[in-house]
Amino acid sequence: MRPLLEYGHSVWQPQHKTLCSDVEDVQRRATKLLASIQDKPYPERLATLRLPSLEFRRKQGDMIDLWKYIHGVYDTDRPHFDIEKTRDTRGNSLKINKHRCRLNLRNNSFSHQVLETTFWPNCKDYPSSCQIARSLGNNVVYTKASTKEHDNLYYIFSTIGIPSIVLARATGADSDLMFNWDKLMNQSLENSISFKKAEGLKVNYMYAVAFTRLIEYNDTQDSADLNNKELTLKDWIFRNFTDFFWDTLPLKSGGSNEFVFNSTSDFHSPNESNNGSLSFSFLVSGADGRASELPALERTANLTQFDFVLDNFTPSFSKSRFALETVLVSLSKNKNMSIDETQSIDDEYSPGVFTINNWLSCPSNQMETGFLQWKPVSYLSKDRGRKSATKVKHYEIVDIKDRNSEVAMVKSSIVEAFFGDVWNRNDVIIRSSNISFGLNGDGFYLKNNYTVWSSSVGYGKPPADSISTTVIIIIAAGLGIPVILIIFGGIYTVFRRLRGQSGYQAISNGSLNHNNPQVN
Amino acid sequence: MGDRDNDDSENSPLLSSGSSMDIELTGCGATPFCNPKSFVHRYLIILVLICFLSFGSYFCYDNPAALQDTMIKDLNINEGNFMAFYSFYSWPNVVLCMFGGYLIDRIFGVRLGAIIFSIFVTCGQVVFAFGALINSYPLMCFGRFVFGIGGESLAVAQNTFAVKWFQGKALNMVFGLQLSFSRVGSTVNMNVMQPIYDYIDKSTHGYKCLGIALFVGAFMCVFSLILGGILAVLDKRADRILKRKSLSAEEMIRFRDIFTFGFPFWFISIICVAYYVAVFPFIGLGLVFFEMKFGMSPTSANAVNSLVYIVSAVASPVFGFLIDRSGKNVFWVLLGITVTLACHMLLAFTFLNPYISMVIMGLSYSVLASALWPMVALIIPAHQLGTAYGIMQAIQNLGLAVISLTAGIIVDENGYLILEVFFMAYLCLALIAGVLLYLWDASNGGQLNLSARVRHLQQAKEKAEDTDNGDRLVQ
Repeated sequence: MRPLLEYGHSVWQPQHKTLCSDVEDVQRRATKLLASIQDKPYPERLATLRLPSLEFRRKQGDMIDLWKYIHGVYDTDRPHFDIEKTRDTRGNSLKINKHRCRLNLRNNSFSHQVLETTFWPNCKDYPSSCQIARSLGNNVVYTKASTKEHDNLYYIFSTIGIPSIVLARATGADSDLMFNWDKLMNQSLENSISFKKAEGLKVNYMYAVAFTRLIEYNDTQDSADLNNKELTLKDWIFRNFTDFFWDTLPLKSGGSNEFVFNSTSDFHSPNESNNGSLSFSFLVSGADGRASELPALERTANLTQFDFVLDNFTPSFSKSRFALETVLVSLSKNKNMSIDETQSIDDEYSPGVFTINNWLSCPSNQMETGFLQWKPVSYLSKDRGRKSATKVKHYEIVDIKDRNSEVAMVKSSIVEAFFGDVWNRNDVIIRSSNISFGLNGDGFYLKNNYTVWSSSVGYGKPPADSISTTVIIIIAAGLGIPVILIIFGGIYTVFRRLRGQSGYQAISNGSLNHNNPQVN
Repeated sequence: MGDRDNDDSENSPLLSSGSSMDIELTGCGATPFCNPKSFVHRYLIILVLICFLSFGSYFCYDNPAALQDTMIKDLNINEGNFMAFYSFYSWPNVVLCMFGGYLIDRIFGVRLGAIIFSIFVTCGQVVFAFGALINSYPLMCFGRFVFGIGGESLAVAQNTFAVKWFQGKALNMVFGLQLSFSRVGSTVNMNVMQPIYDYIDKSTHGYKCLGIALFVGAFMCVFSLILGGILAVLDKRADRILKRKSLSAEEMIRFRDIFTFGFPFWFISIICVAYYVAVFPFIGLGLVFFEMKFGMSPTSANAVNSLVYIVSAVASPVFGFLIDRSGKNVFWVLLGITVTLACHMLLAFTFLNPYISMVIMGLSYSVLASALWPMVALIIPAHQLGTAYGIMQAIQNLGLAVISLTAGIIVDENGYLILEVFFMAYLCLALIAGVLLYLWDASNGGQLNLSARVRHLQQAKEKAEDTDNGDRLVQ
């Protein structure tokens, strides 16, 4: 699937390039004119710009349709569906769920959970506001993962303000999220996203992951460490994600659960002719499995995987490295957040990576926690081989409740739109950590002008790699057979020696010169 | 074993003296320093010459690695082209050093062989350097190829020299020392070439500077060549004085003789290849493993990765000496394999600090290397030794070349855990071959696994028999 996706990418990229110079100014102005966007020409021009992209989307949509057809996932434009197939519960015990899911796999029925992704939800109800949002690239994607027992996960992905993901679990009744685009386009986003009223609906937990800044630094010491004291003030460039302009998603998802938030903004460096891009590619997972590309993170029904890609970005320094400032917002009384590092001797899924990191939003309650999971590896080239692998480092989690600039950025996003004005409440935890890419001696970002980092956002107990049966069999065969041979061989020889002991002593003197027969 | 003394007395029944010192030595020759019979001459002159014989070739072998970045920049080549410098050395040697060994036995003899292969090494390096000087990549590859023709065969000649002079005396230690010197050669190269390049860079730049720097390597080869010449002269003189016998036509090795080498030799070869492929390709891939699994910085990962080399450079002569004292070579080989296997297990299945495992692996590698190679001299007659060592080295080169490629693929596809299991399986194979060697040896006289005391007694006894024979003939 990927090659075609990239093929499509490569098709529209050059076309875009020719248009780029014309449209670039418009884009830049549009980003600056956030408040006043009554002008019609912008969306029109943007529409012309998106045309090839739409074509590409269609192609992708076709493919995903095919994929869905094969896997039997029902897709429709309308959020209602009726599936008669056997489904199991995503109950309290996720483990059992996982197990059952595997059984379902054998039954050739994937649909223990139904995914339904909508681009621009409720757009029709607010045509003018939604049109403005589209012209600004203020994407919203809404995915509902529902079960027959109404134990549902609700995802919202958006580029409004900053790229962010909101995840909520609600039980008791089937509901839907309602998006008020008039409010979403307001200065204050408060309450622009809410649950449709439903009898018995209980919102169990919600949390959000947001990316606030792209950090670039001149790693003069090649330490690949943000905490390096040698770095001076002029070695840093902080880019707020609020300043980025995002490509507009098409109106319809075409049944796909994959989408890309792509930004080709020139990152405020007017001197450089830049055709680089920064993107988050999401894949909402509805079943167990594993990503086909390295680091091959495990998939469950309760998570979404995303790739963060910095492609052909012109770095400001020759020794540039990058980092993402990441924020987790959780609505719970629990005050602790932690990034757990689990080590394993087994690196079969992602060669050379022995650690898996889980940033838990509520570590004390494994069933009611959100997680951000990643392996500490990023790749410096598209083919993601061992040779292009480099390290991902994370830093201490910081409470940023009192940091106005960060909170303001989170407030400009859908986190505020969904959570409401909760920032002074006691049960709101808002923590930040940086995630940096690179390792001493890897040749810096400049080596390939490419970095990709994969991660999963999900709910519940994060998946944990276990040693596969194949590996156990290989170990058993590789080490067991020789050991057995030696043991049996040993026993056999001991027997032989015991029987024929007398025969040997005589030989030992005579055979010394068996290679040089004596003449006399 | 005293074979030569033995043959000597059989074929030249001229003098009755128990000592083969029958030529009057005068002047310097009479002093212990020059007297080929003396301890001082053997250890102070010959051993040093033998060790330095292949110093030049080891020094130049790793020239590309020491200048990797500058080489890629100056010659404007990519990493693949750069790696070809090593391929052009190692792949031909999968076959060539076998013929090299055979030629030493059959045509050149060890003295002429050593000189001829030294000349190849020197010429190869000169061509390599000249290629850099005129910025001709194909010429450089050709240079490496010529260098390769000489390099491995020179190592065979070196082994044969060692056996000739130290058989039954301190052979294990000498082999250990040779190993150290090969390490010293590449270490000196690693540390010296870049400063030399930087120094030359002050006056000349680019590929010309590179060419001149590589000519410094060629000087090392010339130095080794001169030492090879001296060694040849001293060896010839010793042959004359000690009345070492020259081979008769029917004793000359024929190609089909390699089929008469017998099981122990092939077991040793299997151990050799199965053991070495579990150590060196691992080191080649070790950097990322130490960085990622044990969270080490690239600098310390590099340090851990080179521990095996450093430890073995120091430990192999010591272990060689101990093995000379104790005998029991097969036992030491089995010990070396088992301990290495344990180290790989620690690395694969635990998070124990890799410094420990790698130091122990370095020690066990030293034990194995100094116990394994001399065993060949115990089972193969002297006039076939060159061929035997050539074959062993050829098999080893083949194994290393193939397994290095395979190991890279395994890591990419399945990760380091499987890779470690793969290496452990090879060590198990080596262990099985070792056990079979022990069993075969035990049921055929236990010659290989004799303790040093018994071996000395036998030697003394043989010597006495030789003397008897000589006396009888005279009578």
